[in-house]
Amino acid sequence: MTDRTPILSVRNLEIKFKTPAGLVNAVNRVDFDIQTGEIYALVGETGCGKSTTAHAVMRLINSINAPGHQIKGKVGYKNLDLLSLPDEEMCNIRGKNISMIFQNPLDSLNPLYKAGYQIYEAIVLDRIAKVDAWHRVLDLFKDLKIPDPERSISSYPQELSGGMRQRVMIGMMLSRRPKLLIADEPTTALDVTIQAQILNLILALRDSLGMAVWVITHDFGIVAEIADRVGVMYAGVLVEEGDVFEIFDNPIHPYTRMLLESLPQGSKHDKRLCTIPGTLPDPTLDISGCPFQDRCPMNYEKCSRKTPPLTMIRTGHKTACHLATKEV
Amino acid sequence: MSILAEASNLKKYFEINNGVFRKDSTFIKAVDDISFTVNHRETLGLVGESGSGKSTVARLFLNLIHPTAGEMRLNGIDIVGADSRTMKMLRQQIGIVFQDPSVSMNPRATIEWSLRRPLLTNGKKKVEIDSQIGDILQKVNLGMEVLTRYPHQLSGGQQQRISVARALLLQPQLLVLDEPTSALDISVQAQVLNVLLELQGEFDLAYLFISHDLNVVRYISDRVAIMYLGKLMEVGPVDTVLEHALHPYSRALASGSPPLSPHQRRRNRLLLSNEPTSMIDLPSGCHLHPRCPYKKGICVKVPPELQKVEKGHMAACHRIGKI
Repeated sequence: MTDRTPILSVRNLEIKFKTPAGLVNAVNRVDFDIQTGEIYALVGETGCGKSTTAHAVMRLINSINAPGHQIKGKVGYKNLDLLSLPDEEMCNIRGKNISMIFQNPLDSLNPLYKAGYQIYEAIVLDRIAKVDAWHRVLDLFKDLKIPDPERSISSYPQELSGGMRQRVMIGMMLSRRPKLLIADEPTTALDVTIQAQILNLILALRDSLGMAVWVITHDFGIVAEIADRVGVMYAGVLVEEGDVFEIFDNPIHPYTRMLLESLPQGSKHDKRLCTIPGTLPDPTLDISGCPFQDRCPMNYEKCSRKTPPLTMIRTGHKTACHLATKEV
Repeated sequence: MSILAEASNLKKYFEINNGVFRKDSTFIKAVDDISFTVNHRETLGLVGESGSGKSTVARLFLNLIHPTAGEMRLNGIDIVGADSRTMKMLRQQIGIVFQDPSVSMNPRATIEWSLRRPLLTNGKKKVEIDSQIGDILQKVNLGMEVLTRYPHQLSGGQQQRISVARALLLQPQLLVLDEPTSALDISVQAQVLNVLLELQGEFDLAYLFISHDLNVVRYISDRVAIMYLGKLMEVGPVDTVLEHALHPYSRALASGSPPLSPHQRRRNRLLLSNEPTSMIDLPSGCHLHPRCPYKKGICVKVPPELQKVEKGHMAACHRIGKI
């Protein structure tokens, strides 16, 4: 599926926000690549910085919505560094090359325009004749298996159900054939049977269009279902990354292990679930050492002294834990 | 096992008026003729997608809304027709925990106030109250220091454990849990589930556990009831229903919920087409027929009855055994 040319490479990404409580370290030294045609899942709990990373890549964090923020590092797309690109050029990247869908489609669609028109609007940006653009909209609606496409095109977003709205969003984002689709919690607002349909759709589209998909989620079920590779984030740091089978079968970082152990499986008669003691570290403090040290059952003296770097343990499996390198 | 709570032929229709001057009105059949029981010390999982009526069932049990028809009993005592004295007694017997703990507690009151309130209302003595609050906090693994805090100063998991503690203060026999972990992160969800299991063993509690997450329901429940558009589709022991579902809808739910490991991906899945039909304009016959891949002529015409297939396992489908 994947050839070894990353379509997106994030290097040393650091994001800080200015808040009344001080400077918040939202994302620290995050490094990862997304390969052409792969589904990469970034997984983590609330506040771990997974969405912030995606917003920074899309350059959606600016001085208006986050005054006083600081972003450092590099985001490589083709041979461009997205973080230093002028605004006008970034506009050509968004939608055309990289597009993004969000959790709640009702918040992302304009309630005053018909669903079809909102997709049409995106397509004509590529200077396509109006008639052809409308044909493309209709084809997209059919591809997305939206029932009664002729009628749905001229429906307002609020007249469509949640699953249909998310399909319209996906359609809008696919209309210009991007190379990378970022899906930020694409099915969290949807029911189980609808979620299954949308995930199937994302898989089918990846296979037919060969685009890369970057899924951001807190749900390990979604990761298990569609991802090729997984990155696990904790407190703004990428703590483990690897092939999806590798992560589920041989997790190395204690955080990943405990998180997988805390998923309810089987029955209450089998076992109690693992819980992670303590709470997230205060993001305004500069932590020396590993961010997970206070909650880790296996921490030792080195953990508070030195920050573990993300290190390759096996082919395609990296983790940021001193124990992993100690064992080898 | 003896029956603790019982609902029989329960119905709740909500009326919607089409404008001020129009006489005709339509009904939303949020809960339409369902019957089930919750035994002592048992967890009944009530599963369904949004709009299936599962939360309406919770509100009916607490007598927050009145049923259109049907009966509900707790220990044989009628909940629907209870007078105010009986109701006060019943309210002590049934506790509730809501989905989002941050909005189910008074943001301007300390945790102590929120915990004291139900005890004061029910005329407990001051000495008793203090010791009871201390006990219950210990049971949910929280220290006394949380008492002086306000809800926003606690994490989501701590808040939800306070909600559980508050619901248990009056020593109910039945706890209604309406999506108690959906707003929580997985590691926090595990804390709450563990606390619930410990308390169930200790106080001999019965849970009516409402959720849309099948992995959670399978973990915590003994039996499960599956709802779709106001009707019960299937009821039975949780493992049987989720692994050998008789009803196509239960099968779709079980196979559509995300797997626990990538080794289980792309299993033999049953994908339902389309989306649930509108509650205002329900389909004739079986409510699932517009989405069901196994439908036959009879499904369009005749609504299927919930029928017993094996001991304790019931399903409402015309094509049981043929799919």
